[in-house]
Amino acid sequence: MDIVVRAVIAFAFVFLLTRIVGRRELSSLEPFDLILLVMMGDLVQQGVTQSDFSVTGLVLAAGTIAFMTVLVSYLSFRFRRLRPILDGEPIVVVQDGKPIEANLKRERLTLEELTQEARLQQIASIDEVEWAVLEKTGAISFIKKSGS
Amino acid sequence: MREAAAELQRVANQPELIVLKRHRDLEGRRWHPVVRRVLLALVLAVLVLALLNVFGQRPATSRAATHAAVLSVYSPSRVRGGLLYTARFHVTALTNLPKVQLVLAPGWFEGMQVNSTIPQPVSEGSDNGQVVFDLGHLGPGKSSIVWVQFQVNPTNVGHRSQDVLLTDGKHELLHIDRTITVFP
Repeated sequence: MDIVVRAVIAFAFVFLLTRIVGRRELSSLEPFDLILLVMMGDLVQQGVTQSDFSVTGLVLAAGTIAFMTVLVSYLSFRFRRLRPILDGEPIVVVQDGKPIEANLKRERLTLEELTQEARLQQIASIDEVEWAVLEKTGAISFIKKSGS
Repeated sequence: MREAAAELQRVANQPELIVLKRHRDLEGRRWHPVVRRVLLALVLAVLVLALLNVFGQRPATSRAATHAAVLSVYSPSRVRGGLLYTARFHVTALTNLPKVQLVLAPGWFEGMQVNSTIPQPVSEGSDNGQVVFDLGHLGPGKSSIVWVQFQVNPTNVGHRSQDVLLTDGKHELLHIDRTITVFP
């Protein structure tokens, strides 16, 4: 029973962390982030299975995590009101070529990062952007001005 | 008038399912960063508590003395599941003690793995559910140290009494009242 409880706690804690850390931090996967990700996985695994090396332990832990993932997904699908809490919401960061400073600040997103993301999508200048939206996933989607 | 028309035009062009009031002007979402900061502060608080040894496993000394002997126990009082730790029992005789015995409450062993006891006591036994380590004879001014290495069973969560009694045969000399807390 312990392993199921530990897996639920680990899932809830990691879920909480991902919601409070901020989407930008999670969307960029630089080498350091990749190492952190592996470290996090290892730490969580130790906390969940501890000294249990059995196949039963694996089935219980992996099954619990899978069930919790489906549960969160279902709750988000079924209850619209829970979506902002479980998935987050998009934020408009550029409108009509003008960055919205308050929204960038709220997401700890610098103008340099914004322009870098734009360049990655073959957009040379923010002036060319009609809308830029920081999506729930942490990615930024750009919609160019018509004619740009 | 022209500005309002232009704004309407822009609103009409906004990406699908983007509601400007909510997703640009953040109406009804202004309190979200506060919640995020509060939750982050809670996580930080847990880390600070850990630095302050709230979750173990920094050892501390418990000490008791009489005219006949001094007993000190150096061991953590808070541990976490799976951790290794050592308890040190230091007995100093102030008078002649022919049959020194350490009597340990069951909480020392319940849900704990004993990896080793150094040195091995002269004998081990049980007294009404408590574990008795017989340390033999100690003359005045002599001392005996026993180290016991433990590992916490991960399922052993909660509080346990870890009282230690020092006796000379059947004669009780000292008593240390301890409790260990095991975090999951």
